Amino acid sequence: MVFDPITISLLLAAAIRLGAPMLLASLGELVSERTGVLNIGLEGIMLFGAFGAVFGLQLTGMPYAAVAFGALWGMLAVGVVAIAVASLRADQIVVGIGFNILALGATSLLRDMVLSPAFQSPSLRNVSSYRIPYFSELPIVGRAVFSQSPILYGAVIVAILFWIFFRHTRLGLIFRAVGEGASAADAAGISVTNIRFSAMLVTGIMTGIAGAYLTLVASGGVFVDNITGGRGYLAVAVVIFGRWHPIWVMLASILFGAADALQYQGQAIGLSISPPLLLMSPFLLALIAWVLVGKSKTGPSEIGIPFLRGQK
Amino acid sequence: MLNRPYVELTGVSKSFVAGHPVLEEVSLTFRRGEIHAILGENGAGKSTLLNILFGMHQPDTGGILLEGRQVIHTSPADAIANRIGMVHQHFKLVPSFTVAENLRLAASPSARKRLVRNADIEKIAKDYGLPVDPKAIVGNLPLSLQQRVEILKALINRAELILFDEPTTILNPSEIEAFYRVLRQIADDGRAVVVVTHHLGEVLAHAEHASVIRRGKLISSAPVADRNRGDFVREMVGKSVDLDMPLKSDYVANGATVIALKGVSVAPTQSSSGLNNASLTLHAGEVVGVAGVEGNGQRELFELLAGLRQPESGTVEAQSRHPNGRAIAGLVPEDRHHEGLVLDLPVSVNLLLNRIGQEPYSRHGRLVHGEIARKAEEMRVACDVRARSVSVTPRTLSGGNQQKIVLARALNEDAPTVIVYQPTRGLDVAASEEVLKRLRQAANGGKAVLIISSNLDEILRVSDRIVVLYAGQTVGKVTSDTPREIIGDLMTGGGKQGSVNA
Amino acid sequence: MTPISPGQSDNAASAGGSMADLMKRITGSNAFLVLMSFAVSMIIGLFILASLGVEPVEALRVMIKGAFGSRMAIGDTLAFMTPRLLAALAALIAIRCGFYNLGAEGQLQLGAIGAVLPATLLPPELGVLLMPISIVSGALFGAFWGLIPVLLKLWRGANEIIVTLMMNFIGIYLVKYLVQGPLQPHGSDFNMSAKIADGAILPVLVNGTRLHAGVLLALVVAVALWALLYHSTFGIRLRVAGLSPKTARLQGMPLSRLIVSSMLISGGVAGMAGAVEVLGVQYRLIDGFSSSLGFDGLAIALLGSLEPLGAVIVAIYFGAISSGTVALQSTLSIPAALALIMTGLPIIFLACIHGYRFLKGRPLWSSTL
Repeated sequence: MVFDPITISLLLAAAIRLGAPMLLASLGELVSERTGVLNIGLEGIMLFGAFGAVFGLQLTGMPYAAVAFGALWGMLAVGVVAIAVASLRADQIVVGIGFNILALGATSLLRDMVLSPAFQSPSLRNVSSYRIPYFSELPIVGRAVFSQSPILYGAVIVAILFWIFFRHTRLGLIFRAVGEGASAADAAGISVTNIRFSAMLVTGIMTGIAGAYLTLVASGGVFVDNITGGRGYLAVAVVIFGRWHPIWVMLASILFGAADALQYQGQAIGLSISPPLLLMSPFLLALIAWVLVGKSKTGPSEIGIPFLRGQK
Repeated sequence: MLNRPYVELTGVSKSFVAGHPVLEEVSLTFRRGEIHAILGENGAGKSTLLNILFGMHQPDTGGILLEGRQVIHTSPADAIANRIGMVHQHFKLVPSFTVAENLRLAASPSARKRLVRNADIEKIAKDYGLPVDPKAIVGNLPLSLQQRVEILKALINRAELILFDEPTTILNPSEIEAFYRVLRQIADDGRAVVVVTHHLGEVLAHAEHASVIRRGKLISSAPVADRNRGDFVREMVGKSVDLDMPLKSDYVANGATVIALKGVSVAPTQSSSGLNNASLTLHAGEVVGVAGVEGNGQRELFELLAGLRQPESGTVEAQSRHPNGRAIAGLVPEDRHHEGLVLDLPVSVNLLLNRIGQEPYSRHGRLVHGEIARKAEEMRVACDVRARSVSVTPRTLSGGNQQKIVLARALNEDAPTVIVYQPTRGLDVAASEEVLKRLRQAANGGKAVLIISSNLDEILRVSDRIVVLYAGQTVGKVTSDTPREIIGDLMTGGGKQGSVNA
Repeated sequence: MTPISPGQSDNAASAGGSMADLMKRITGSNAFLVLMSFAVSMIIGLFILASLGVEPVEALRVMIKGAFGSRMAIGDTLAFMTPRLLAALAALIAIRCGFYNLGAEGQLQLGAIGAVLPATLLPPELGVLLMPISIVSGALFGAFWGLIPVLLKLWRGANEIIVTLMMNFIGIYLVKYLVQGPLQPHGSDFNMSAKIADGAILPVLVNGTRLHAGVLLALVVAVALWALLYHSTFGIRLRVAGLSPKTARLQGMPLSRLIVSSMLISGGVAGMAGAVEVLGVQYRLIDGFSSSLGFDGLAIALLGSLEPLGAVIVAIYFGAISSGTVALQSTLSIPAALALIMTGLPIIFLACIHGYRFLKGRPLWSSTL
């Protein structure tokens, strides 16, 4: 294998770029899971976000307005799931699966109906990359880390903010309490339904932006059917892999991104592993992690359980 | 001034299923400086009453008066804002949080300012006479300390009325004494205290005022000083029959030994003392009662006898065993909804759960539905399970009928032994009476029956022999003639002579 | 309507209340709610069609004709139904034992691999023997894939939802890897394996349709699982373990063994779904052959109240939607995505109804969910 600075820099850059949608979505999912909601519907929400972003782009012609559209569509999509899950106490897994099927169909139909295939996308350069002055001149990491999409920088800041939020703020304490002991939170006068609902809205916004990133940054403003290709499910796995900790989730996303990147650039460094095996590796890693780490801490104890007052 | 009512309930009714009221027209008055006990059997509606005061449920009719003005509690937040605190039977704590986090979570905005540093929490707790370590993870604390955190939650929010739902079930006798000292202090500081319990002794010893609720109706509400134990018992059970009469025993002390535990030990856990060199023998034809306060090794004893676990030392000798080594015994577990019954499968399957794989109910791996239905119907009639047919599910039946199914199955087991754990929990008087009678009959018919119960009254009535379980040890050898004060003394650690062979 | 108190509703003889009582019993029943969910979804689907400028009645006619209107239409509907029914049966047998197997998709991939290996590598001279060998091999591969999450759960306490979800991806990438590498014929640029031997092909049942013998296998498995659940000692134990594991344990039932067996069956049936798709429809292993058949199966199992018969009925609905939208696409050029909408919607509706009844203390399904 060859390890010269340029290939390493390229590889790292690709890992981060490809890990970014995962990072955005899994940070969003993290918030839901911390309050006890396992949101399998992430895949569908991301699809709506991806569609919404392109729709917004065609409407306004402004890339950042498109990102906002993606966030908005993500929020609307999650609203449907949240009404079912947080308010009506529907089974989180079942709704998630149903919603993903629905989203695949709905976005495809909407693409047919409202998106113009001949649309000439404006330059997406300023959402795709921004060189941070001075830092982007650094060797290796300058190109790789400090010349990425501003959305990614935002995600990193959000990860740090989430970390502070859960660790040091009262609302963070409440969010965690709802996920670790919903009935205790209820008895303390906290509305479990409202907290879960708001957590899911955050998830929707983040996942919607993840979808926007996919279409705007990763595929030049074009929406194709099933553009997420399982990244939503992956993001759920990333949260678990990252042990519900924003910083670890960030690193896990880059790891998954690296596996993705290697399939394109593996040959450049003389790596002769078949791309599908590379893509498989993070999942194998996650499974091995389960076997090794085992029962120690398996996440918020209320995860997946609808809240019902009067049950212990 | 202290005698003015602080909180009043006026004509409160509540039903969860239309036509089946849990509370009917209950009016009560709580005063500052007073420990007010609410007595009643399981299912009488006591907990619902507290939940209404605390905003967990809303009354159908009637309301709450706070110092004479009407208040409406639509959620616990309203109750907390009106200075009402509650210590639930199943603690409302986040187990993975520290003590400090739990207190901060529950604290109102004004209270939060006083809890910024852990040192503040430590000091406040000490000032209330309830010292705790703010950094301890709540789930790792013993239950008595978890309860302390719950009380602190109420005090920190400056609750003026504190509700306790069955607070002493999880405490050992010395902890109970300490607990009531804390309550006394809370009341003496000018707060109102409400304790829901069915332990009469505690009420007589510590409460100023007691109200009795039976089947959702208020039976009496009066100062404790004016009343005696007999009054309360009569009002709680609502029957004039003498429930202290022992059931007739045929046992003549010559039955063969069917099960013997010899010096068995099981490690303690946070909620139980485990077993510590406990010994016990059981003979055909007798009923042995194991008395004791919950958490003194009862769960472990039941699981050992049921073959669900092995002792860490000592031996379990059984007359007859399954091929897989489990002792054969009919089992009536503590939690009938989760361990005793499959609530969503038909009564017939539940009745024959232990034999479903045997001939004639199953042949070559195939179920013989006709045979199952026939036998189940026979058992249903014999055990007087009031169900339309054996094809309905136990979920639709009353607690008493559910327990009859579990009991019928246990007694039908081809086993010399029946192990019964809290057999009448949650049942009304009539249903309890029937359960006890059936157990007595089974013993008179030659079975060996072991009853593990925290209800001393039922143990005294039905047992030939009584073993007291305290801190995982079998202490003292007593009979139903032994004065209950002596048994009570043993249950509370008074008989410190160590383990004896019982 | 006059309000009815439960006291009266127990008394079916009271003449005044009996009609309302009957209505209440019907509207509260599982079947009614399932049907309503489908009906509302159909209406929404037709509404979407109307907004696309298509006459809804005409669209409905085309759809029904496309699904049931001719021998070929029925054949297509049943062909679409077959793998989905098998996947649904796989999901329900695991869930009935209390194991939330979301891994049918992955088990199905392994089943396809398992089927294609003997069908392409064994000597073609084995003739029609290859077909049963390939199906059994597919089932075994699927069962193996189902065994891993259950062992991880029993040994390490791993959450089965997470593990089965992740193993889906491993299965999908494994197929991708095989068709780009070891199983790709020399000189081929397509991501697919060689064609299977003629002897391994599931014969077409009705000439001129795509209906192959796999449908018989699916129906046999449905009947077998029904008999297993309701008429065998193993089945009743499995249901007890699923509904109340603690009771099963107290009665000395071998819980771990029951869960392992149910997952072996579940994985095996899912594997068969993959095998049938390879041997009856694709005739080779193709990357992305499944298009989330496994998740469809899970949805069908849940919509069918976790009953084998329910699964058959709902699977026919799914098959009809698929073939009906194909007809819509070809005659009225309406996007096939409509099928996805009309399968996703009833799942969400039913889950909401169930959740709401759970909230009100009257669950629609029993406690395995």
